[in-house]
Amino acid sequence: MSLALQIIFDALLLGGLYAIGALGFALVWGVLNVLNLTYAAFIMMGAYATYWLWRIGFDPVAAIPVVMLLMFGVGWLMQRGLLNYVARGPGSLPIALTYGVNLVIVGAALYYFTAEYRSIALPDYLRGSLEIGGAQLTNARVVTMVIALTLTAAVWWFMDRTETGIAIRATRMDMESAQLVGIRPRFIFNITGGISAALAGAMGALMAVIYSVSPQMGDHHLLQVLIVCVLGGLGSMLGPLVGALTLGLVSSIVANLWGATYAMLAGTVMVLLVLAVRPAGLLGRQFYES
Amino acid sequence: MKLETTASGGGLLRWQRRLGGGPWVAAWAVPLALMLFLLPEVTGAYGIRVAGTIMMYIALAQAWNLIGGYVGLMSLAHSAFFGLGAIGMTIFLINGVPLLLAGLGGVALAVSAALVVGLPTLRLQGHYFVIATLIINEALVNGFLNFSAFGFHGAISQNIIAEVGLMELDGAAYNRVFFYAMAVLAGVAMLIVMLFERSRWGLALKAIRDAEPAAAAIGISVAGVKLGIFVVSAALAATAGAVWAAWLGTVDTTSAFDITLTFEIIVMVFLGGRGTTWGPIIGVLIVFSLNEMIGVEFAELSTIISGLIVVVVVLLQPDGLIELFRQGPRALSLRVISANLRRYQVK
Repeated sequence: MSLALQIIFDALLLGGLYAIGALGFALVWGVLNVLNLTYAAFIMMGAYATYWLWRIGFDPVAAIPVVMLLMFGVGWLMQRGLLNYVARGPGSLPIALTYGVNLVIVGAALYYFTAEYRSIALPDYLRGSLEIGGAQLTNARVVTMVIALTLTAAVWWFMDRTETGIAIRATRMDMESAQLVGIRPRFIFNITGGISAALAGAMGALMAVIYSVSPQMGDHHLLQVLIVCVLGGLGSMLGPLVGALTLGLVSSIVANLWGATYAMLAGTVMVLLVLAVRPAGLLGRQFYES
Repeated sequence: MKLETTASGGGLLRWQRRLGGGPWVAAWAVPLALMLFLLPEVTGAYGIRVAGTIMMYIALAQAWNLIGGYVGLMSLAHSAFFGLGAIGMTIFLINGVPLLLAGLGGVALAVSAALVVGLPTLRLQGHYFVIATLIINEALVNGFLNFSAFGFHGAISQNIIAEVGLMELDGAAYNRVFFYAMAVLAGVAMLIVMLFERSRWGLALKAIRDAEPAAAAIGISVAGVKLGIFVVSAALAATAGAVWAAWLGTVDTTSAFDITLTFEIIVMVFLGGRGTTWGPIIGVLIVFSLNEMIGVEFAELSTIISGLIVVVVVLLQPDGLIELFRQGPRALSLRVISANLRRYQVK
């Protein structure tokens, strides 16, 4: 019983983290039809930004909004300065470009920060833990899940209720028609890039609070984010959440039963199965793939 | 799609036409082969190892060029195919299978992996293929690191020098054998690319690239063509992996499945010119000269430099440095570069 509960708690935590990451990643994928591999570096940058803010005296949770703001700027600049130049090209160009940028950023982080793992010493209010039915649920994990849910809700509100959000959705559905009603795609792309990077930063920040920080952390988490995107599908807000919870549940069951190294294998098998049987994702609707 | 070739003219003539026309092929191909054959006579022990590695990278770059350059599908699984060739052969070898059959077994493993990845994803639009190739590599590394059966243990490195069975050769002769093996492999890869460009596959591919719906409408099986090319590409990469493992004599999982290999060959192909016959060779030679200059002790620095190369090439010279041979120095003029930069820009 307590093992089952522990598995569910782990799944909720992982699911919450990956849901935020997948939300940001799916945004750029959906709107620009670009696979942004620099996302890995964005996650890592968010984590390091949190770490350094904590070092100069910030509370790690209070640092998250600051990190998101910083990463919004980074994402905007990346979109404006680089991605907009290849967005209309054949699909392999943006992938190669974002991969190259990722190599440069991760390489620079390895050079300046070294491969050393760093971690944040938690403030007192994040230290305790609740015990529910024999399973441990640390306060840090509770806070992480609350933040993840808040961010998901905030993105849903932004995309569904604000004018900018509606413009982004319109661009995603049909760029030419969006232009006809006066939406400027370049502006929408820049904002989308910014929001996406801010969400990557938030994911990195939470990773830094719960786990540790290292230059290559993003590369591993990006793979999980990709799996979540495929599992959940791109069409809806709920997709990443469902995909993330599925992956979280399967990963933590596999990790608890056979060991963490098989979790990746399980994720891959799930992805190939979903693509073979239901390519739009577990609950995705198809937007631009027709 | 049927891929039979019409027999026209003498066999030799037809082959010559396919390889770039006329008797001129012999004029460069024969001296080139002779030079490669005699190369070990002039280079030292270190030189011949470098030359063999260059040949391996030419084979790998051409393998990737088939799917990544000509088809335009970013496969991130080529390190996985390379690793499957190496590890698969090792597993067969230590169970008593003879060398050549063991190598074939490794290639067969890679081909089945390519089918597993390609079958569900290549019929889909969008980026699912790229994602599947990226995660299959990670899954295979993790899988093989924990794999412990048939006398193979993924967590430790495996010595196969006795099983390869060339122990009576001295060091120079040993390297020479594998230089020739890699050179033959590179030659085969080049030949495949050249024949492919002039075959019905190449024509079908051009049709798909120019107008996929139209190509499908005239009866080209789009997914089938893509899958076929992907499998050939995977088999080539796996063969390179098997030869590499036999050459090295010791195999361990992490270095066989090292994903940096994939990105190295992508950098090479993009730098030289993707979807061209000679571009990848230019890319391989430039990257190797750069590595010799930088040295291996600055690993982070070479990561940063390969990243920068890709960024600059994609933005300013998306067709690769082969344009220098096509257009002459004009390819580097400010006008051409700024036109390249604005070519795919969002308006």
